[in-house]
Parts: sequence; structure tokens; C-alpha cells
Amino acid sequence: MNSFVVSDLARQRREVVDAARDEPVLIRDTDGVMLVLTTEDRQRHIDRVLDLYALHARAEIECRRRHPNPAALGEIAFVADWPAERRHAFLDGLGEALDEARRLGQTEPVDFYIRWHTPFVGPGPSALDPGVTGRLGEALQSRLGR
Amino acid sequence: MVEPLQLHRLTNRTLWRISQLQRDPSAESWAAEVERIVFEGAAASHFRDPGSAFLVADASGTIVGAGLHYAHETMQFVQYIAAVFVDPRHRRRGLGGALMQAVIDDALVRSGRPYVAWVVHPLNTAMLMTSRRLATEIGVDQPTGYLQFAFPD
Repeated sequence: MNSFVVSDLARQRREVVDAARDEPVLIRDTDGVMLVLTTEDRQRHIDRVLDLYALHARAEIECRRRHPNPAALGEIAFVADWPAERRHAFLDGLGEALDEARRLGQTEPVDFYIRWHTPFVGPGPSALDPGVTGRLGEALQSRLGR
Repeated sequence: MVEPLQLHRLTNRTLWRISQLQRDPSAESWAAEVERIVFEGAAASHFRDPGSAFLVADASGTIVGAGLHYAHETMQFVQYIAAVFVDPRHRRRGLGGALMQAVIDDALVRSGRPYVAWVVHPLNTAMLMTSRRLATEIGVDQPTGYLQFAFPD
């Protein structure tokens, strides 16, 4: 991580800003306090990662209760109604997606994981309708002699 | 000559690779149903089954499609293919047939079940042609009009 002193903001403004676009830079103020200059995107990413880790930790605790509080689960409140086994499987997966997000330096693995598991409103696709597959089974059984 | 496809089974870590695929904004309702399975997790409950596989296909390193198959609960001799999807940017290159064949092969090998089955909307002409080339048409589901296919004969 590049580091500068606060007076560099006046003397080498362009260099400091360009460096901060590439990666966070440290700026030492006159009283010794270290400041960090970074892009808004990177800061949003860091905030989101912290939120996700906090969510995961909170959910691990909340989901040990017999009746998890949906309000405490935030964007994954939908798991509150799930059976305990399914909740734990979801949280294990969330943890793995978090690991991947950290490894890649992007939150998409977790964001997509949550989006994909969020129950949608409306009827399910016809191809998943048990009526379809049930009749298919009858046809197959008679056709294939099983 | 259709490009060779490589299938990759998605895990919790790699599920996000689906987001590299593009949805079809002009998809007919039946095609949108397939997209709901692929992009919105409409079959997410099956993702956890050990006998299931949610797969992405890459051609020369580019993710071009996806497929999902799972062990049918009541038909214990059938592995059911719930979705096969090709990214709209990569259609009309014969990838649908190659992907369907790859998913069939994967379903048979991974499940150990003797049959693979799936249904196709009657307006999905491309998949109908592919299915008729690759498999046996079993019949029509009366309530939905979906055509039923199974492999092998």
C-alpha cells in the first residue's frame, strides 16, 4: 500500500489521486493519524463484504434458535421459515460463497447465492410441475416395460 | 463443426458463474420458465440433492449455457432434466444439441439410473428437433401440452 503525508495532497495531488485509483493509499496526517484514500467503488465493496460477514455471523447464531427472528436475518429472512436442516445447509453454502467472494475480491458469489436461493413469488415453472413428471412416469413405465 | 463443450458442476462457491450468462429479454413465456430455473433458483431445492447436478457449459473458456438434472423422487429409474439453457449470444451455433447431449451423458453417468427424461414446450422448435434427434418421444402431457422425451429408447 502506497503511503504519503498530508502535505502531498497539495504538492503531489495528481500522484496521490492516481495511486488511490489503483489501490487504497495511506496518508499520514500531521498528528500521526493514518487516513486511507480509496475509490468509492472499493469502499462500497468493503462495506458490502463487512455487511455480509456480519450477516453470516448473525445468522449462524439466530438459526440455532428454534424460531429464528426474520428481522434479525435481514436479506436472508426467508430462511426463518425453513426446516433447521435446510437452514444450516444454506448457511454452510453462504459461508463457502463468502470464502469465494473474499478470494476473488468481489461480492458476486455471495450476492448471486442469496438471490438464487430467495424464493420467488408466483407459480413454479411447468417443467417442474409434479403433474407433468407424474404422467411422464406413467408413460415411461408402460412404454419401457418397467 | 460444433465447438467442444466442457461441463462444470456448480457448487456453492461457483454458483455465481451463472450470472455470466445473459437472459433473453424477449423470451417467450415457456422460455422464461427455463430461465427462472437457471437464474432464479426455481429448482433450488434440488440443488442440495447429492444425485442432482447444476451444470454450466463452457466453450473455449466462455460460459455458454447451463443445465440441471436431478434424481426423480418417485420414478427411481429416471434422472430428470429440468432445464437446458443456451445464452442468447451463443445460439444458432449448434450448441443446444451439444449441450443437451452432454447433459444427458452426465445425467446417466452421475446418477447411475438407466433412463433420462425431460419435457419440451411444443413451441420450443429448436429443442424439439434436438430431442427428436437424440431421444424417444414418449407422449404429450395433457394439462400442459409439453412433449415428453426419454433416453435411451
